Amino acid sequence: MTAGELKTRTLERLDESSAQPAFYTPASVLNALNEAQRVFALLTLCVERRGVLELFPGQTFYHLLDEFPEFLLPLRASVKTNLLPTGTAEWNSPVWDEALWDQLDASPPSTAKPLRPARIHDLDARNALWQTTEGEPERYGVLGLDLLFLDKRPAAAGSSLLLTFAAAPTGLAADGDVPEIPEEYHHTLIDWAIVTLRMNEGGQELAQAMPHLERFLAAAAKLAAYVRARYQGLRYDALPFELAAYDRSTLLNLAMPKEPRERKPAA
Amino acid sequence: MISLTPWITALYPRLNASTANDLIWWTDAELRQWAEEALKNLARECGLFTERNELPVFPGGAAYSLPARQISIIHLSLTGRPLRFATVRELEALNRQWQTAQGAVERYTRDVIGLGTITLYRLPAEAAILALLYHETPASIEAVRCPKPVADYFTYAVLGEARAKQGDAAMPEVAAHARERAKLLEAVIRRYWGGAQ
Repeated sequence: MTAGELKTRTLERLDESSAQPAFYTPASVLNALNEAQRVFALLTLCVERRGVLELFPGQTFYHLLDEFPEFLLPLRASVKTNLLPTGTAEWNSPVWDEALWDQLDASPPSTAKPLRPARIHDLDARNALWQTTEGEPERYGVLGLDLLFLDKRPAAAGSSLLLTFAAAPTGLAADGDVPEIPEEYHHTLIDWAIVTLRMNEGGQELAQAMPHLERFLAAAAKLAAYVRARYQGLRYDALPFELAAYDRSTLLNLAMPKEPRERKPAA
Repeated sequence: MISLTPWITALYPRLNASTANDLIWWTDAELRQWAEEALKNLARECGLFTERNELPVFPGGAAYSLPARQISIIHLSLTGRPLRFATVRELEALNRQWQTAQGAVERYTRDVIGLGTITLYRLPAEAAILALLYHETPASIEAVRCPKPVADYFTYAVLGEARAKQGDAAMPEVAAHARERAKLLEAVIRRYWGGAQ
């Protein structure tokens, strides 16, 4: 579905004309749909990207958001010391090149060696002087949102980190834009958008929209379970949030303000 | 790096306004204040924002001030060698004259006098570099290094405060729902990025 179709369907369900909406502007509907896509991708980690980070001699720490603004979580990291592909493609190569959702693996085999995830204190235990040790990295970690660290720093230029990461989706702008989440879940964005737009009205309008939110969360939980199983099979380094185990009761049950009690006159 | 200003601007339609001038029951400054409070809350509760800094160490110098806005230390190392954290009681058990002992620096302690300082055990004999990895609060909401899905947390934190504010525009049920959404996002953020190393 395109952004234009999603906007039209959202407005129709709000009993608004898609050509001339009276209460909801097309911009606010688009914002709500973009927010729905971002939240869906955050809950399920279904948007996957690859990037190459150039490693510099003598540098152990890197801020990944400077290089990849859409970076969320690392899934797999490998180090390549030779930027040029060598040899012919091997479709059953055991290295990290794997097809993503809808892409054929057409890249030549890499000489990339996968890095194992580690915590800072694991590296301290293995080698107290890891921050100044030179060599080919074997382990990596990420502190906070994006501070990447490696257990060894490259001695010379020419190394790069091939990073597969969970990403934030690209926002929808034009009517022809298509959400990055899987096609079969596009319509669930409408559910989140409806509840978001009804928050302007509150009261019964918002309360009656809650089944839409329940449907959105159920769809996200279903895809998250699939992505979790897939990532476990691929032995990725991060897994989606366990939405199925999260208590949604307070989120879905709207706390309506109580009516003031009638005071009985004094006897 | 995102600026929270466009996020606050995107909130106006959700507060039934088109520009900052139309915000009848709130002010732009209030929205920014709430966004800053949400930022500090997230930084403190989830340890999202990490930074690395280097401090020069002087011969015989024991106490050093930590960078402004630091919340907690993740890792401290002197010339590449990690230092272990110890409490004052542990240092006193090691050496009753720990504050003046000289030799190889192996441990450090925090906040001996006041907050925001570290004290080395033992006193360094020569100049060196102290490398510090720490959690911090970003300097300003105008430049926050975070991906866009994380910024949605600020949207709902601010919306929750705005609709809970006493006045004609108060909508307690909307405020409660916005806070629940913020709580969900905080749980996700904590699961993905929070926790100690």
